[in-house]
Amino acid sequence: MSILEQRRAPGTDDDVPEPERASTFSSRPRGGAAALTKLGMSVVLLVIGVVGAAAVAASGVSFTSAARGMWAKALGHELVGDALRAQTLVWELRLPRIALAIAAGAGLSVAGVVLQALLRNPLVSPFTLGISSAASFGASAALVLDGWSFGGGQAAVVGCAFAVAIGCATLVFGLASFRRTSPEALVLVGIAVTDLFAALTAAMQYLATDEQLAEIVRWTFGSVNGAKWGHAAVVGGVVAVSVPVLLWRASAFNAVAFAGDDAARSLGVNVTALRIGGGLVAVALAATVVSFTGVIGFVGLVGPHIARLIIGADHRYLIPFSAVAGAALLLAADTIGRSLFSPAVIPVGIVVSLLGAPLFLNLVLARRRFL
Amino acid sequence: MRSVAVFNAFNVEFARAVGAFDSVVGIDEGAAGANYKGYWGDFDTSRTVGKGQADPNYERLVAANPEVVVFPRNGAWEEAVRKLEPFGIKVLVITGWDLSRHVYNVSLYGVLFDRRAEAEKVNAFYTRYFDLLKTRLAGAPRKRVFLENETTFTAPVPGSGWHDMIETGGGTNIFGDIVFGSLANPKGSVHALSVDPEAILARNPELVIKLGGGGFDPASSGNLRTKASVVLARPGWAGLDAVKAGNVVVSSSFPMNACSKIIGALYVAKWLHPDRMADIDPDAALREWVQTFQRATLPDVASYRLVNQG
Repeated sequence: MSILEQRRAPGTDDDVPEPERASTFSSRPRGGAAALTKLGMSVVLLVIGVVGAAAVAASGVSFTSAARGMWAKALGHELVGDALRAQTLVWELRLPRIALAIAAGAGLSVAGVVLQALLRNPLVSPFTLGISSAASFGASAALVLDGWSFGGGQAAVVGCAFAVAIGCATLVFGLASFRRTSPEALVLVGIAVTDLFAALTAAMQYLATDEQLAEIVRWTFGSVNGAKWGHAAVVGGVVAVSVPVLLWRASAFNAVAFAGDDAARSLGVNVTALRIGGGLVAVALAATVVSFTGVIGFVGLVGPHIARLIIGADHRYLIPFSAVAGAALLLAADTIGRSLFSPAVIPVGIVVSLLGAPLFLNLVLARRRFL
Repeated sequence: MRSVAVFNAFNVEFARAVGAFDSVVGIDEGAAGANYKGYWGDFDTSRTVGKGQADPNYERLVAANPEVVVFPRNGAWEEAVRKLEPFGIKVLVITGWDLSRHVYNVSLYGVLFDRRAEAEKVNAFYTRYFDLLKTRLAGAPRKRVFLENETTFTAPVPGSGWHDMIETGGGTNIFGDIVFGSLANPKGSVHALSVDPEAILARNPELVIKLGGGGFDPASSGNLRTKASVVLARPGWAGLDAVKAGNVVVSSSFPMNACSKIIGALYVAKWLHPDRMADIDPDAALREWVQTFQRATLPDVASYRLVNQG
């Protein structure tokens, strides 16, 4: 059976009463007004989080003084001395990393929720299909081949990571389409590809000099430490374009996720097109994020689950709420990572797992129905 | 001691400096690799005894059958003690990059290889410049230095030879207040700790040294000009005192590392206090180290670095 033309056999999830289904889809869609209220509240909380993160300083420059500087600049006043320094610190360094953390968290989480729906598997994340591993290999190859020396600098690393990640996803989806594999087989193909690229990355590490090895290791930890407005703009732009497109197809995701392929088709959903289109958007989201931040592997898996536990499984609300949950998770992780031992920075990829795992466990244990 | 396997290029240099290079039966890939192409003369670098100091190849070590294996303290010496004990191979920890222990370390080499006179000459070379720096920099105001390793936004902290190099050269490491721990590992270390870019601007260094990687072979340090342009284009860096004064240096690690980084300290002092170091030529010291003590031909020194790109 192809993943693209899947038929559910009797006795599979489609015949199981909804509360007993796999955990991903166990929550019934909830009332729209309540969901919208929660969504609105979460956005407000995220904004408060942004202000809080902006106030955390490694430089001793308060957000208030920087805000005064930015306001003065907006009014056309020329800044000098400490005011200029404060404005530069916050506007050029602190806010871009916050913006990148929000955009990256949102992108990874949305990619996760879409892939979980399309593959009807709660354990799927953007990285299950090998995207992270492939991007790591691309970045490692660029670093070992010395991306600096051919003038590309970081652009070469980002470009190679993105290209290999997209190539990997194309390979996985292409194999699935060509061999007409089931969703389970697709996940297995993803795991195999992940291992393949992990081995290739290890080989690159073996070939690397000490300096290159250090850079590869840093990249695989995931970080927004070098964020620039340009990075945030690219990642944010991809998220801003992707989320409305995915929301437009939210009802179709609901149909596939809750009812299975046959029922979705009977409701007029072109399941094949949805899987290809939705999969490509999710992969592009994840690949874009990983190319700029390095490997941040936990958000794409847990962000959707946290969102689902709070707002339910209706993708009309779940997709935007996942974006907010992922953004909040990564923002919190980065803020903690840069403030705990300031001015030393703990890579966000490490903190997000340390922070997200207990939070996720707490949510799961608090709501046993999830199990 | 007639046969020794040596990890870390600093330690290999010591063996050669005291005239005991013919006793070396194996070096690691970090020392033998492309970065040091042409540096070790006729020594066969095709078969190494490990990827690096953290990743020894025990089969090759045993096959090379040295009496002693030398590791730096940030190498895998503890594991090596256990693995090599059954073969009767001793492990010795000598940290060649430790500027503050140079004299002790080289003297130990002299004793081990019975090359005391040669070791004294090496130590005299080191001490000449160490004492000179102390004399010339006495009373000089310390200036703020940011040294960035090859990895972006990483800096050395106390415990690293880079930190000691800055302090010996009359600077103050702007991240010298971070106490990270006693030893290093490749994923987060005293040599290259990830730091907040905001803190670099706040601490406003007067000298920036960006390490461009590489080794003896200047080509291995990559495109220094590209690295310089990337560094100078960072947000807010135009306002740094170092950039405004044109005190940004992008350098290969090799000249900075020479002779336990005492040559690096000379460069730092020259860049920070040119008036007090007017008659001192760190390039000449580097040339002496490479040509006299390492018996190698030094390429054009200028190819190792870019200075004053501000």
